[in-house]
Order: sequence, then C-alpha cells, then structure tokens
Amino acid sequence: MDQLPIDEFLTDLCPFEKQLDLDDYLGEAPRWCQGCGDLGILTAVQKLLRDNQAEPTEVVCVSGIGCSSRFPYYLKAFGFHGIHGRALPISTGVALANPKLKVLTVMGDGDCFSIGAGHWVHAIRYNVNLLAMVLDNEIYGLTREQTSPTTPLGTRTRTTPKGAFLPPLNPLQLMLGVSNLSFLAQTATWLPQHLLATLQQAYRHQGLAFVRILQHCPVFSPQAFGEGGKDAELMEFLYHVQGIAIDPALERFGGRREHDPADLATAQRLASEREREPLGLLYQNPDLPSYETIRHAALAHPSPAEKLTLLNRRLDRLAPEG
Amino acid sequence: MAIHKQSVKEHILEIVSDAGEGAQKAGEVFAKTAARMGNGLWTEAIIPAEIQPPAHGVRSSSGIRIRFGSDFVSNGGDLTNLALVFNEMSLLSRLQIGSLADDVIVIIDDIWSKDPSREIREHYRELLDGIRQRGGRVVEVPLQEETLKIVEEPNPGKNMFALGLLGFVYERNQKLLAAVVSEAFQAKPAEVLRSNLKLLDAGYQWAKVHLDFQFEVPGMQSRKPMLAMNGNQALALGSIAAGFELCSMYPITPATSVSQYLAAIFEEFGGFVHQAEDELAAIGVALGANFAGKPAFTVTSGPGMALKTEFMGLAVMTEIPLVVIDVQRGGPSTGLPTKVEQGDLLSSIFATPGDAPKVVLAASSIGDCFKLMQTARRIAEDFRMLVILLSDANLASGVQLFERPELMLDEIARPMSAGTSHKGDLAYDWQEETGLSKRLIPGRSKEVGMTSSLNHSPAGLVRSDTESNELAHRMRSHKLAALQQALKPPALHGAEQGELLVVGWGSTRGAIEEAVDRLRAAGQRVSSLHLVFLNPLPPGLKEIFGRFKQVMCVEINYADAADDAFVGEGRRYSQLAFLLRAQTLVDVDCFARVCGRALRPMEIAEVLEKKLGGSP
Amino acid sequence: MKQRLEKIFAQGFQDLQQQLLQRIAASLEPVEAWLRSEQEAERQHPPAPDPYLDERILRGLLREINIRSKLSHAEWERLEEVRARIDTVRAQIQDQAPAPLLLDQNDPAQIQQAFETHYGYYAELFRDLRILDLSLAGEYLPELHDSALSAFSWKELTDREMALIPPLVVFLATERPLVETTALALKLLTTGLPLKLLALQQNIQTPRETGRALAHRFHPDLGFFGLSLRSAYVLQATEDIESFDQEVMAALRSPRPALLSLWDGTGDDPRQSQLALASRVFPYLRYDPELGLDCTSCLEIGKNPHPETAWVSEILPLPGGGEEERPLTFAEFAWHVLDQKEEFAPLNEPGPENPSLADYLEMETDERHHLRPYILVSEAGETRVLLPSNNILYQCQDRMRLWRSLQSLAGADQPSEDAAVAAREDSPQEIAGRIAAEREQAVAQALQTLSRKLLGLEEMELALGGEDFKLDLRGLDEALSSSGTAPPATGAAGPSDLPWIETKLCTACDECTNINKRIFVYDKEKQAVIKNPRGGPFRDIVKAAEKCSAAIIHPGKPLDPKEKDLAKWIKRAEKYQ
Repeated sequence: MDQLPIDEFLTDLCPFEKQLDLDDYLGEAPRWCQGCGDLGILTAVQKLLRDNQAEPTEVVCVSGIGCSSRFPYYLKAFGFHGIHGRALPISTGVALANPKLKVLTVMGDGDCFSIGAGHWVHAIRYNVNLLAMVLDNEIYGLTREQTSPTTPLGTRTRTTPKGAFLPPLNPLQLMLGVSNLSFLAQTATWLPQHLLATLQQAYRHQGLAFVRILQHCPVFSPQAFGEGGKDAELMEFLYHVQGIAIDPALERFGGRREHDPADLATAQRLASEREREPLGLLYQNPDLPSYETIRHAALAHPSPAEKLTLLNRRLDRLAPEG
Repeated sequence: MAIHKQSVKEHILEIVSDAGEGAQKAGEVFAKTAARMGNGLWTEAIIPAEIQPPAHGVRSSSGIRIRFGSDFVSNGGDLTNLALVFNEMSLLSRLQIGSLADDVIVIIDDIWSKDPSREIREHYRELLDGIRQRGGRVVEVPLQEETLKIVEEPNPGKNMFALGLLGFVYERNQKLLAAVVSEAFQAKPAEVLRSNLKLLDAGYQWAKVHLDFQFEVPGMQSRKPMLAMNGNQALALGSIAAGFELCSMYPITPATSVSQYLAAIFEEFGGFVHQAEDELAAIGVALGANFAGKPAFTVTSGPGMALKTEFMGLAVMTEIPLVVIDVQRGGPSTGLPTKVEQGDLLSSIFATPGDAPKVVLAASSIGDCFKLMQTARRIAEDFRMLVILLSDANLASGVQLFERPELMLDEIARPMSAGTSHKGDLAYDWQEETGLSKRLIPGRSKEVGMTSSLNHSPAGLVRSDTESNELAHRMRSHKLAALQQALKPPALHGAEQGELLVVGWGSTRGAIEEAVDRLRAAGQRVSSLHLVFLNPLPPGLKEIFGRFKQVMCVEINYADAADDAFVGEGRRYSQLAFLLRAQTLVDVDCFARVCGRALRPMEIAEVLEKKLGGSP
Repeated sequence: MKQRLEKIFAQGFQDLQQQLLQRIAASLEPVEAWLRSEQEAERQHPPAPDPYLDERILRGLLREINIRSKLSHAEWERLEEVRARIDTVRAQIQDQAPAPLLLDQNDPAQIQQAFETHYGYYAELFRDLRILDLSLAGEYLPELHDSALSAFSWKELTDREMALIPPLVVFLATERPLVETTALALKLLTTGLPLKLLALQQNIQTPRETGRALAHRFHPDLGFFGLSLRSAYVLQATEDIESFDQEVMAALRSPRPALLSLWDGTGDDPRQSQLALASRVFPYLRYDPELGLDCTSCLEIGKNPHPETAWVSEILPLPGGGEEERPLTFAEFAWHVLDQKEEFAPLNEPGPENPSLADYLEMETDERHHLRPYILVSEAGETRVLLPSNNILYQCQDRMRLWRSLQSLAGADQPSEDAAVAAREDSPQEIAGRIAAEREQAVAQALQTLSRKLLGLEEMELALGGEDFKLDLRGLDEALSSSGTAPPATGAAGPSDLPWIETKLCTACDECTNINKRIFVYDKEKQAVIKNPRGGPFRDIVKAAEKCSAAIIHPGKPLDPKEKDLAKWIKRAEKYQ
C-alpha cells in the first residue's frame, strides 16, 4: 500500500479524542423574542461549556420562572426548570448531592431579587460552588411588563402606570454587603466577548460566582441600560490584572477604571455611588471554602456493613440493657 | 415503721417542677431504670411554652409523666397515680388539666408551708386539702431542706433527692439507679456526679425512714430485645437505617429534635444535616439533592408544611422522589406549637394547588416512626413520588419501650433506585398502565434530561395540549392506584365483625386499642382499625365497614359535635371521617377533640360505650 | 424421481426446521432467561419485610421498571419489538410443513423477485436474532448497528445462517432445448443469488450429425457446465449413488448457488440409471467450492463406479463361446437406454478390421484408419455383436474425453490419490480457517469504515470545502481587531462598498439571520458574518443593520443599481455606515 500523506496519516491513524463543539450543547430551538439578549447569553454559555469541554450529562442548569428561566430547555445539559424564586435552593441541593456536577443557575431580576431574595442573600453566604447568573432587564417580561426591584424610579409599567414609586434596588451594593461573598461580577449582553470572559472567570471560581448580566428587553424595556449599551456614558469597565480582560474594541461602550477585585471597600463604594454601571469583576476572594467542601470534609465514609454496625451500636445504647 | 407494700400491674407517675429544677432529668433517669428493669414504658414530656418562664406559676411547670407496668405499654394511659411536685403551682397545673386520679398520692416539698408569703402558705394548704377531700393522699417531704444539707444550692439538686425517694417508693434497684445517674452525668465534672449520687442516696435513705408505703411494679415476662426512645429519635435513626444521607431542615417545634439527634451522629454515617435559610429552601435543597442522586428528606411541622406547599407541587410534577416528615402540632397557623394534634391529614393530601397526587403515611407508634422511614423512601423512589410521613407531638416526645427492629443491610445500602444510564433515554418514560418510570440522574446517566415544572411530554419537553396534559395527570394518578394494589388490607383489632368499628390513625392507636380491649373484656362487640396508609387508602375498607353496624373515627382534631344545636346539616367531620365518607360512601361518625394532649383510653372507652348504648 | 425428492425434502427439511427453531431459541432463551433471572435476583435479595406493603405485588409492579432501568428506552423498545417479531416468525415456521420453496417458473425476473421476498423474510429474522444477541451482550451500538441493520439484507447473512434457510429451488425445464436450459441456468447462477437450480434429466440429446459440423457443435452438458462457474455448487448424480439423499440435501443447503442435475430415467427400469452412471454418460460429480482453492480439492467424483479407470467393464459371454470383458460406453447406453437401435448394425463375426470399441477408443487417430469397432450387447440372455454408427462413435469419444477431463480435474488420474483424500479429510479445518480469515478481514474493513465515520473524517473532508471561506473570515477578524472599527480593505469594489459586520461584537440575537439567511449566517463561534452580500436585496441588509441589537452591521453600498426604492434605502443606511 502506498504511504499516506502525513496529514491523512495523522487524522486516520493518530486521531485526537472527540472534541465537544457548540452543537453538542444545543437544546431545543430557543423561543425567545427576536433581538433578546438571552440568545447571546445562551451562546456565551454554550461557548463556555465548549471551551471547558464540559460533558453535558455533568452539567445541571437550574432556573426559576420567567423569560430567562426558559434557558435550560435551550441548552443541552441536565435542565431543571423549577419554580419562581427557588432556583438557588434547588441548585444548592444539587451541588451538595454531587460536588462533581457543574451547576449553572439562571434567574431573572424578579426571580432572584424579589421573590427569591431570601435565598439570594443566603446562597451568597453559604457560598455553594455554582455559577449564578441573573439576567437583569429591569422588568417582568413573561407576565408582561410589571415593575421589578431594579426598575428605575418613575418607569411606567402596567403595575405602575404613573411611574415606579420607589428607587430601584441596588443588587451590587446589597451583595457586596453580604458576608462570605466570594465572587461578584457584572457584564452585559451587548458585550459578547466581555460576557464570555466574565463567565469563564466565574466558571473557574471555586464557590458561588455571581454574575449580573445587564440587558434590555426589546419588547418591554427597550430603554434599559441606555437602550442596551448604546450610551457609553452610563458604563465603566473595571480593569485589573486579576480582573476581566477588556478588548480595545469595547472602549466605545464605556469608560475604564482600574479596580483590584480584592478590594472590597472600593467595590462597595463603586457599587453604592452608582455613577456608572461597573462592568467587570467587582470582588473575588478565591480563598473562601465552599459550603459543600466544608460539609463534605467532615463526613466519614463507612461501608454499608460498617454503617450497619455503627447503627446497631447506637441502638444498643437505647436498649434497656445498654 | 411498718411499710405497706402493694404490688400493681402498672403505675402512672408524674414528676413536675418549675422549669430548670430538673424534674425532667430525674424522670428520664427513672424511666430508663424502669426500662432496664423490664417494665413496659411510655413517657410524656411536660413542656412549658417558654424556655425560662417566670418561676412558681402554672405555665412554668416542667416535668415528665411516666406510665410503666408489667406489660407492653402502648400509650400514656389514663390518670396519674402518684405525683411528685416541687411546689403547689406545679400541682395546680396538673389539677387544672385533669391529669390526676382522685386517689392520687401527692408527694410535695413542704417548704411552701413555711413560706414567708401568707398567700402561698394558704394556697398550699388549700390545694392539699382539696387533694385529701377527693380521696387522695398527701405526703409532705422536706425536699429542699434535706437537699441543702448536702449541697449549697437546691437547684438542681432537689431532683436527685426526689429521684432517690422514688427509688424507694417503687423498689428500684439502687445500684442500677446510681448507674443510670452516672451515665446521665457522664459529661459533667466528677464532683457534680459525686454530689448527685449523694443526694440520690439521701433521698432513698430519707424515704426508708419516713415513708410507710411502697409499690412493686414487676417487669415484663417476655424479654425480646427492646429499645426505648421517642418518636423523633426513631425518625432520625430510622432515616439512617433507610439509607438517607441528607436531612435538610429549618427549625420548627416539635419537629426540630429529629434533625438535632441526626446532627449529633449523622456525619459518622456519611450523612449530614443542612439547616436552610427557611422552610422553602429546606425542601428545595432536599428536592435538588434527590434530583442529583443523594437520598434526602426534610422534616417540619404545620406552618412549615404550609410554606413547603409549592415545592411539594414541584416534586409531584417533576416526579422527583421526596420524603417530607410532618411532626404535627396544634393549628391553624402557629397554633399550639408544643401540643398534640392530628390536624394536617387533609391538608397533606389535598393542600397542593392543582391535582397533585402524593402518598401520605402516618406513624401509629414509635416503632412505626423508625420503620416507616424505610417504607417512605422505597415508595418515594420506586414510584417517583412525594411521600408525606405524618407523626405528631405525642409520638415526638413520648418515649416508648418497643421491640427492637432488625436492621437490613439492603435498606441501609439501598442505592437510588430506578436510575438509568443509557443514551436516548426519556425523562418520563411512563409505563402505560402504572405510570411508573425510571428516571435520569445527572452525572450518572449517559443521556441528559429536562425536568420541568411545566406540563411536559415523556421526553420532558413543555407541552400545553389537552392530550399531553391528560396523559401526564393520568400517569401521576395511576401511580397511586398501583401503590394501592400493593397495600396489605388493614388488620382488625378485635373481631372481624360486630356492632361498632373504631377507625383511627396516627398516635392514637395505643389508646384506641386499649379502650377497645376494655370494652371487649366487658362483652361489647367493638373492634378497631388503624390506618397507616392514608393516601392511597388500603384496599377493602368498604367491605370491612359493611361488617359493622356503626363506624366511627376517633381523632385529635376538630369536628362539630353531633349534638351541637347550632350546627345544622353542615356538620364538620373530623379529617379521617371526612376522607372515609368520601371514599366509601359509608356514614362514618366521629369523635374528635382538639385537647392538645393524647387521648386517654378511658375517655375513648366512655365515648364508645355511649355510642354502643345509643345504638338500637 | 419427483417422489424421491419429496421424501428427501420432507426428511431433510424436518431437521433444518428444527435447527432453525433451535437457532431462534438460542437467541430468545437467553433474553427470557435474563428477564427471569432479573426477577430471580429480586427474589434472592428481598427488601426488608414491610408490615404494610405486599412485597409480591409490589415487586410485580416494579419488575418491568426494574428490568427496563437496566436498558435504555431505545433498547427496551427495540427488544420488545424484536421479540414480538421473532415470536410471530417462530409461530409461522412452526406451522409450516418443512420444505424448500419450490418454484416452477423460468422467468429470471420473477425468480429473482421470489428470491428476494423469500430470503428477505429470513434475513429479517436473522437480523432480529442478531439484535437480540447484541442487546443481551450489551454490545448493541446504535451509532453502528442502527444503520447497518436497517439496510440489512440476505447478503449480510453468514453461511451458517444461510444454511438454515429453506432454499428456493427452481425447476429447470429440461424438456426445452438444453441450450436454452443452460442459458437460463447461466443467467440465474450468475445473479449472485444462492438459488438452487434443479434439472431432472430425462434424456441425453444426441443430434445426428457427423464430421466437422459435429466436432464444432456446442455440446451442452449441464453438470460440466456448472464447473465453469467455479463459485456454484454443482451436483450431478443418479439416484443409485451412495447416500444420494444426503448429497441432494448438501447441495440444497450450500450457501452457494447450486445446480443439481439429477438423472430422471424415462422408465422404471433401475438398470437405466445404473447404466447412465456406469457408462460415464451421466457421471456423478460434485463440485463444492467451499472445499478448497483449486478444482481438485473441490471436485469429487469418487462415487462413480471405478472412478480411477476409464471405463467400467462387464464380462459377457461371446456368441461363439468363451467370454470377453468389455467396457460400458455410450454405445451401450444408446442401445439400451436411448433405444437408438437404428444407429447400430449387427455383425456376425468381428474380423481383423473390427477391434473392440474399448481398444478402438484407446487408439491414436491415424491408427483407426479403416477400422470399425464393435460392441457386444446382451439381450434376452443372448450376446450380440454390433457395429455402432459414426455418430455413436463420436459420442463415445466425446464422453470418454469428458470423463477423462473430470478425472483429471478431480485428480483421480494422479497416483497420489490417498494424499488427495487425506487433504480432503483435513479440509473442514481448512475451511474453518479460511472462513475465519475472511471474516476477520471483513470485520477489519467494517471497523475501518466505522472508525472513519465516527471520527468525523468524512465530515472533515466535506468541511474542507469551506476552509477557504473560513480563512476569509479570519482575515476579517484580524482586520477588525487591528484597525478597530475600520472596514476590511478587500475586493475591487472599494473598501466601503461592501457590507460588513463587526463579528466579534455580535450577540447572536438572531435578528439578521432571521431577515435573510442567504446574506447573514453564523460562523463556527455562532457570531454573524456576511456569507454573500449579493444573497439578497440591499433592503435586507439595511433592515438588518437597523434591527441589529449590537448595531454592528454596516450596509455599505447597494450592489444592484436596479433595486427598487434604492434612494430611500441608501438614506436609511447612512446612519449605520
């Protein structure tokens, strides 16, 4: 037989292992509105998983209720479309049950900051190893245009036809005040590279990585966040060697500011002053142990027979003779 | 002094003090000693509503009620034969709830007779006179005085003196009593133990000199291996025996102690207790863990059940196995947190909005609490169902001596059942008739699956058409029908037919059966039936009911009295009666009380007698 | 002969049917045994007795689920479906009388169709049995077997499987001219279908011709003709040979196409068929291509009487007293069986010019000048001396040559006959070895094909076509990142004439691709690129630019100056340049 050309020889006789590509993460065809930022986030998450070669059967995507919570249907992975506001407890259970699973939690602003606010605060404190994303468009979409905790003061919605009565909740400020916070970043749907880079860093983080993703709803909140990033004055990229890389092409979307993600006090100030929406890594403490690490470290690993012996011994103490 | 010694088959003893004076501790040691001496046993804790209530008041009473005897004891029994009280307010609290027999022996600290307050002195006299008048006997003991001879502070300390005294009264083995005390003070400094043992002995010696009566309560003849524990402990240990690895909970009375017992020992078994931020998260974490392949349960009480309702609907819809323990307390709302009630039956079965078929079981004894954890887990996983296991405050804190269950390796090692690991598998591969299916588990299956709270197709994809919705509902419902087929028909207590059938559920079993036994001994044609499976109900009920002229439920929940003149045709029946009437179309009557405590055999017997007498 | 065959079929195919049913059971039983063992295993490891649950009923309910949980949904469905199909076929087989499928039909197209139907039925059965075996062994790989088995035909069957299928037997009409029969046989045997052709020979045609014409005439001889095909199993026999029934069955059960040429004498006289065999007119021959790589190994003529000699001799008393050993040739056959008495002339006394036919046939041509051989025939206990015609002589000569050729092909003329026999005795192992080697090769080939498929090499090759296109995009990317927002400087149309996208900033919102998929597509990273600026009207490009949620589409200039309302669209495009 003739000798094979080297390239054929390599591909025929020394093939690489099968690589997962974007198609391996395609779920159902998305049914979000055209122009919805969720589509871009889905793509970013698919790329994230592809880049990390995550087995779809070892990824669990948990969501609550709302437009963004349809996410798991469209991602090929284990999906759990739960109930309104409760994605974080379910995710916590999954992470506690099997720390080998990669848990992605997808919530909307109403889902996480309103009905699920209790879980939100405590999930940050528990610091379970998961990647939590809040897709914040400052409005309730699926129920059609009601005010959300992040809806700006004065915004007209169907439940506030004369304008929202209250100043919006500042989720970054709140999270930066929760003890045991280990990772907090903010990015936006109109910055696909920044979005992916942020998710990459969050994915690598051990502990609860919280990423707030700014977006506008083309139907109900087209004006949100400067019409979805069109006003560079409203945004400011945080850069640092430990932070998220900023492509020069992004400069037209906002200003720049150096920020050390280890500096909690500055992060708190940036978040509370709220002059511009900071984009990038606000805070990261890579040294905090995750909740399941703490809990699992304390566990013995008896065999079933040993368990039986141990339990019988426990019962012996409760026997009248014992 | 000549000692009058009386041999009795059983006795009910109460030790009651102000909270913090250690009556409970003394009672626990006494009960443990009784169990070791082979006595059948049932204890009830007397718990004040607050942690440190103001001393010397009826609401500050704390203690224990111990029924022990020469036979197996299935319930708390009737009225107290001997009450050792540390003060007259403790006595009053027991009188107020009608706990004491007319011929009760009251042993009381005489220090109150010398109290500087005239009011107290008079009240003390008054109460003791009352006891004597109704035929009781009062034994005044210098409890505090004698205690102070040994230790500087009377509290705690009086309790050990009292215990020693009771050791004499009931002819307890002194060495054994001392050994149990030593165990109880194991963790304390040696000098504490020493002084307690001194007090114990002093109490015994004092009684020997000053008391002229003794009771002999022989142990049981049969010496099968036994265990003494309360229902919450049984649930905790039963969960380990059933192979659970996670208890996700939020503190709530009277359920919390299940997780407390577990928290102390679970890790050595490879499991752990997760205290969640709220009731919703507690069930959510348990659900998520089961979803991801770790057997988990959650434990709560009425208000927690209300909060968990949405998650329970999610468990039903997603067919993720889940066991929820509801240790019932008085309701509605915050209700009577520490008291006994069986008020959650109907809400357990029906409260989830939308049609949400689930399994509801109720433990009828402490042994059940242990055993049903295994049953519940098996059903939850094999049928992919939500299983609610009902217990109540009576079982929760009542310590019973019961036959030691045999542990099975297969149960403790039971893997998450019906998992699957093949490419192309469906999330809900329903078997056409039974609705049963295996499930996909993340990290174990080779196929991914979508789990959705929305109505879904067998593939787990969202469907809103009529056909899919009807199919999914039918599949979920058929699992209940399938389970019903696998239930053993319930066994009757008493004859197979007769005049009156009493039907009960939960912790009332012992009291109902004792009442039935008494009436049967008196020639009455009455039997009883106790239901453990409440949804689905066991098969054959209608046929069994047909063999009796009358059927009546006895429960600890609310029912309008049949003779309540104000209530018209809208009489509200007790919860099981409501269920049985709907299921069997039999005119089931009911006797129900929301008395906040266990029903006594004698009050049940009285109701049944009336029912039998009133029948044509 | 037909009755004899019916008996053979009834007996031979009884066994075959049993073997086929056993084969079915061999696959079904392990599955059923496995299902039983699953239930057994449950029985052996009962859960703790439960006071409230009836374990027997509960296990009954869960049995199917438990078994199903060991299989995938697809596997379970496949198993159930396959089991049901096999059950049906098994019942049908049990109901049938054992026999091959007999076809009295000489239209090749119809025969072929009948064959496909018949073998298709069994091919499906064996495919199902294989699925069952693979599933049970846990070796069923959907990505490999689904497609392989969906296109499954009888061609994929193994020899062993083929041998279990009742064959399709075509009766060749022998009353038609042998040329036609041979032509039909050739046609059928070269279709590649393992058809069994059965010719019942009632006659040997002997055209009355002489000389050169005769010598050049095509002499159809069905059995010998079969040898020329080399890949077909050939049996030519009379029913007198030893174990005739087995011979017929072996031919019918060969995985090869087979040609059976059986002597079906005209009368009831058993001597006729004996004579056909003994006179080498209708010699026994069996050619089994399985037996070796050369003709000698495959060809068997040992069942002919005295296979090592030219003729079978008979000793006949001479008319004038004494006796003579004389060979049985075509001449005797022509006299006795064909009854061609007109081809013979009586001779009173053989003279010097009359050698015996046996001697004559051994002579060289030039020695035969002026000689007329005689033959002896025995009739009614009397021996007669006859002179055969030239035609008969020619036939005798021809038959002798044919027989000698057969001997030579079969190696029967070789002294080392024992060695040949010994070699043939070894042959089953050889066959096994050869078959194994062939299989191995086939498997290796299949695996190679499969691995290529699995590794996506084919797709890669397909994708190579798009490589250039991708390179273009890279160029675009580079241009973008180096020059910020500057358009790419490519193409003769001028830098800003062509529409372009800042692909890196695409949020994958589907707006542009929904407007026109011929212009806008996603690249491998799921970010939009312009596939073909001429893929649609300028209008679509402008609309896409307006809709783009990231505002990264730059429409450039219209490429088709004739487009409607162009001025309007150019104006609207300005904002996005």
